[in-house]
Amino acid sequence: MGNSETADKPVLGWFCTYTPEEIILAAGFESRRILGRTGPTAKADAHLHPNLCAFVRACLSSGLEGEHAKLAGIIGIDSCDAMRRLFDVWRATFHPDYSHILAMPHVQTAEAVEFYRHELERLIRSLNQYFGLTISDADLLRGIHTMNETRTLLTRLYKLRRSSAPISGTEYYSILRDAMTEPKDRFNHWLKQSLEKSTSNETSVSSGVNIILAGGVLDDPWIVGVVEEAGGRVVADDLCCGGRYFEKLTSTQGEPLKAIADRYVLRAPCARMSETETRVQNLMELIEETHARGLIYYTVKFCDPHILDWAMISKELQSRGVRALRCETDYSISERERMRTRIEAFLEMLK
Amino acid sequence: MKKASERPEIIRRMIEKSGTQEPDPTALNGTLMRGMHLVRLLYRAFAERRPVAWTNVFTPPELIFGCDYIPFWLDGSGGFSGWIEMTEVFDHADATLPTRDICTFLRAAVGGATMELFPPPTAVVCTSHLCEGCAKVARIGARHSHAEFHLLDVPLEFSDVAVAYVANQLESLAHKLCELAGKDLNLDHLHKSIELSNEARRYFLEVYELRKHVPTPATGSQFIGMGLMYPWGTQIGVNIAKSLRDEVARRVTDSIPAVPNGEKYRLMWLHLRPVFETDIMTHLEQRMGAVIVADLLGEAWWPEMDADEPFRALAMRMLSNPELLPMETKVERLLGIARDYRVDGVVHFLQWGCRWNCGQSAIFREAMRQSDIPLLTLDGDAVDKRATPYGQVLTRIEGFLELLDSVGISKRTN
Ligand code: SF4
Ligand code: SF4
Repeated sequence: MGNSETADKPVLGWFCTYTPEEIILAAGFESRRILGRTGPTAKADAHLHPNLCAFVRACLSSGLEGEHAKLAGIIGIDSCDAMRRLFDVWRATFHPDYSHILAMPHVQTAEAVEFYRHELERLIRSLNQYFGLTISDADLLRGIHTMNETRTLLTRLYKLRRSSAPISGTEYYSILRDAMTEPKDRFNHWLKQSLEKSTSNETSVSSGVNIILAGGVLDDPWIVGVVEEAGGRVVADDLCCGGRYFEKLTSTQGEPLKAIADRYVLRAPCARMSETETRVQNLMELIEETHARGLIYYTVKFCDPHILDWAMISKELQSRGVRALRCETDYSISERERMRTRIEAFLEMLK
Repeated sequence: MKKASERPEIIRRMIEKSGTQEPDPTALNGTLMRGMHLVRLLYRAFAERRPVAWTNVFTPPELIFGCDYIPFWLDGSGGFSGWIEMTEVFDHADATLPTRDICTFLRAAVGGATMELFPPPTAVVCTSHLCEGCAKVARIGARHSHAEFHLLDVPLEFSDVAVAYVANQLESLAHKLCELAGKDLNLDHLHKSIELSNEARRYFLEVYELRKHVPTPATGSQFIGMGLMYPWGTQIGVNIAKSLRDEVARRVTDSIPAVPNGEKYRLMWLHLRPVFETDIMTHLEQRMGAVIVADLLGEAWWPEMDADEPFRALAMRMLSNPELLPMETKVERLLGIARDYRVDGVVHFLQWGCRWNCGQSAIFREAMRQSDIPLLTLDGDAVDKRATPYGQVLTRIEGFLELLDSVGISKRTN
């Protein structure tokens, strides 16, 4: 894929998949998720206390490495305590020209959708005011169409991977990373072409133990490679860098802002929502659908929402006879060997 | 439904502990009254047939008392677990939590809830804001106790839309709590509760004004966190506040300093303090004369509430929490307090595992540096004394006070 540093339009950066990319596109910007990379995050420690989650420190590290120097601004969201502080520290460190933070409800009620709709209005007002824009419903619909196209293409890729195996899991998650970080039109065009080529070129489903990968952010898919090398196959996931990113389309009917609010509040919840029971239900459905033999729950170190949700989810899975393994990473390479051994042992047990 | 508890172990341990501990000679009567009242509330939660709500420190107690419930502060349970050295709760939490990386206040709550040491809840209520870990822990507790869990979803910051969103939830919650307790919501009770809270708040505002006096009239460690676990909305809450105001005012009039040897340094303390039994705070204030004159967790930050619109008023109370302010405004406010109270330096206590607080430490450090206010960041564990090396903390505090000496105390913020 290309490189978003070469994007034709100015770019707005964001951190969490609850950010409404439709609005970024409607405002005429490219949309880019700021993610971390495996490696030391020590530089970030001067700005973010080392007991904040490894993901936000890795994101800040990527900024400190100069990866996002050309952003026109950032959109933060109060997904969790760590995310709020990342927003504060990002602003204090890089002084972006434009910044805005959204409040995201924790529940999936009609009132929460309505509240989020107001938040989206506030974002639009802020973008209009700062950049001298007048974002219209037609602009929003354009943004919705582009995002829905990305989601539809990714769903096709996901289904294709389930029925055959044209690409490895590692490649699949790298494409998902590109979906979040590359200019959308360029990405959509590329994926459409790639899908056309690969459907005519199907290989058979690889054997291996079917595994569900669940948890938080997975910006470096090395763990998928480890699972594959150990004889497993990640058939589905509940990850914010995976299925949760593209699983629900935004309606093109009715008021666009309401449709966007609906999509984000009501999509498959992550641990930052107060919807643990729904998460358990979603995981059970995925397991049944894919005949998965086990589940790996992947969290980054110091991520309270995912760790605490896991304390509840693991009990539920256990009572339903699902075998599960929790893996935690702090983005350091040294962690990997230890984790590889655990994953190998887990898969051995499932075989 | 609430079950009668046979053996309130916590109460037994608290009585034992108070029997072995010398009372703090600098404690105000109001502080002692508050302490006793919190223990009494806990006892009543076990002994009486009234419904109990497990709650967190950001849920307004006026609502809980107004619905005729007894509150049990789940996140506060870490405080008394630390105080009575009930370390088994931390060990027991390990059976439920996959890691020890969670704040010990929350681990204590999980341990205590799963060991069934707490008064059985009729309902569990928690807010989503600031400490998001607490909402998950409250849910874990509710699941274990088979009680209904209610989340109060509190947005990122104050706005009219946010106030309406929270007010609606508070109203539904009040009805739900009353329904669970088998009665109708009595709006007069809620009205009364808010009026009493307003009255107590007015006394507290006077106390804060009086604490600005040089020398300050009372040791500050007793105020840290006081506003978070306080019987707001009750007559006893008014009595305690009035007692605090009267005593502090008298001490100012009679020029009685907070500590017998006189005030040498004036400090602002940010976030929590160690609560276990080591005399870090006594050493700091009473022996070294470094008196805490201002803190952020003891405040009554909210505006006067309109008792005729109780849900809206409580929503405004929650959303006006200064911790929800945009960072620039928060920092400005911090610097304003440092100036108003004429502090010589700031101690920022970083409770291990408290993400929202630790996450702002670098920004505060930089803001203080730019304003030339000395700041000490103190990493530690307020609850589990095994995790906080006492000697090291003291050495760091002593080093900081030496630094204040070297820059000259006359450099006091003014
Ligand atoms: S949800 Fe977890 S991984 Fe994501 S930013 Fe928050 S603490 Fe970090
Ligand atoms: S210290 Fe922080 S993390 Fe711990 S319970 Fe309090 S607010 Fe939550």
